[in-house]
Amino acid sequence: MTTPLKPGHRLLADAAPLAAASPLALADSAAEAIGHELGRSVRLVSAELETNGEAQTDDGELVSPSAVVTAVLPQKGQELRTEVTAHLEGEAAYSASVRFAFAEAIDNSDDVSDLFCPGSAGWNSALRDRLREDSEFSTLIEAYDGTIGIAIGGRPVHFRCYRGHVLEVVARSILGADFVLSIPGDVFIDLVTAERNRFMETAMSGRMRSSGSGYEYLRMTSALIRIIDHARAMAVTAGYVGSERVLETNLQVA
Amino acid sequence: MTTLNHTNAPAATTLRAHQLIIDDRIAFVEDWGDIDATPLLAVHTAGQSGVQYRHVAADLAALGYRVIVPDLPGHGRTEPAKNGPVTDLGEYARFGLTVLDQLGIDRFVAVGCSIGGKITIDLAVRVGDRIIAAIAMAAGSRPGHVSLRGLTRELVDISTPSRGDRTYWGTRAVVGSAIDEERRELIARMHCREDPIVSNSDLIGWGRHDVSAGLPGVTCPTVLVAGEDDLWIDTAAIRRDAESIPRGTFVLLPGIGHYPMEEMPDFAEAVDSWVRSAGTRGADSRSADSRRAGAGAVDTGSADRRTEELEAARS
Repeated sequence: MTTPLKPGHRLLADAAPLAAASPLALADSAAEAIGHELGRSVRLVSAELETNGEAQTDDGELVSPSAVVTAVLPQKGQELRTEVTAHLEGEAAYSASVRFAFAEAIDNSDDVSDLFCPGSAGWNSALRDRLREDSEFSTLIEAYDGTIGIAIGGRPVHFRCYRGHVLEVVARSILGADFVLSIPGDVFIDLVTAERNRFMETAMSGRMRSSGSGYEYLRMTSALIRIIDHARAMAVTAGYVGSERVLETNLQVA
Repeated sequence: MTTLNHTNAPAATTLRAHQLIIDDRIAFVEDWGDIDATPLLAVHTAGQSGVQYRHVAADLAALGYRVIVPDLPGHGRTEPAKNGPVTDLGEYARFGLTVLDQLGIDRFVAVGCSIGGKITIDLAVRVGDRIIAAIAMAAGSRPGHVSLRGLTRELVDISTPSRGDRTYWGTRAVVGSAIDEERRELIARMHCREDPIVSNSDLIGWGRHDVSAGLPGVTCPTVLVAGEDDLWIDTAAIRRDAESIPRGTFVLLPGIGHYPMEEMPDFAEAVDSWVRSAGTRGADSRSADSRRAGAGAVDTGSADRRTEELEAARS
């Protein structure tokens, strides 16, 4: 097997524009191009398409594809799952994003860092350890008895908190989360590899969505920014592509 | 009247301050520069005060302006309006005119940012014949995109969790990418001084005020200024507003966000250049003027971004 790609790896940078076609046909073309670029015996295992509502592009319109690796994780023993989000931008009104997952056989899953998959059990544990050692985060949740929820590329992460203590960081807490902030995988990659923490800009631009208790979500504004600070530090540690831009003084909440 | 020596720009200006009585309430007004210089009314943003012009008022005075910086009712050192927090920006426009009338000023340059920008457009519609040039920053003529329902609910304190945090982070988010961390931090910390009820009421005014029907009748030269990194505004709509004003100009500021007077070290020079070129400009010289180096660039179609997330959280 070849070396697994890392999150943040950009694909289709040199891809030729696609000719106008139906959304599904365009997504299929993107999948084929990504599979070809991966250059291995990958197979497509899932695709989730979302368009901006423009059903068809105009005849003759060209659609520019781009893509980024959002997560890499071993599964089912000897298999590697690589998650990729592709964007398709038409010259006029059409745009779409497609979340792909590709699978391939691997010899040894030990080669794949837990930190390559935000929201995995290993990633959650590493984040829990950082938060427990962070007295500032403890201060931010001093008056909180509840569960912060985020979802990264559809993968839920629950932070069970009580009086300044992080009890656990897991995929699903017993009573669920007070609110969930859903962060698309590619948006999360942008957040953790940007020069500075752009959480609020991302929220204000509508690239993340919250559900559940709006009041608890607002109350945890600074705690969420601090969580992203730590996620950014973890991206640097893991060597996400693009994380070299992250400034050393990346903790925003102080 | 109190006279203070300005200590930031050596021997450049003397700052006067007035306590005027408007609608039976004390109104605080800074008055910078030579008393016979060209009057320039500078209007602050929602929830803030004239302190936003503290770094640039002296510079403008040094360039030949008499800079009148009022604190709007309920802001800074001006007492609250008798009828409670203001939600109609037209009231602020009338307040500004009363300030000028009491100081004996007829013709003036109007400069404002955010709600101050909307107030500036309102003044251009209302009394364009008195205005030498109107410089409206970070604002359009139509209602801004906010959740009026959420803002109204947040007039009750229990509905505003982490307001201070949100003001701080939200301000940082709309400071332009060209601004260094030290200035970004200072701007955000200063903005946290707001009165939450007054600030929310201002934003309700931002979400309601509409003077778009009056744009074709504006007689004064008007420059609509947008920061490239401003998440609060619809740049394309502001550009269309400029095109609707007979002597209108649109200027896009690369790397600048929602607060040009707090972000731009050369703000005074930029304003002076906009005023000077606006006075000699015809309606057909729009693009050439707004391409001037250092004073912005023609908008190339920035995305129509919204504050959806904050609005959703507040709704």
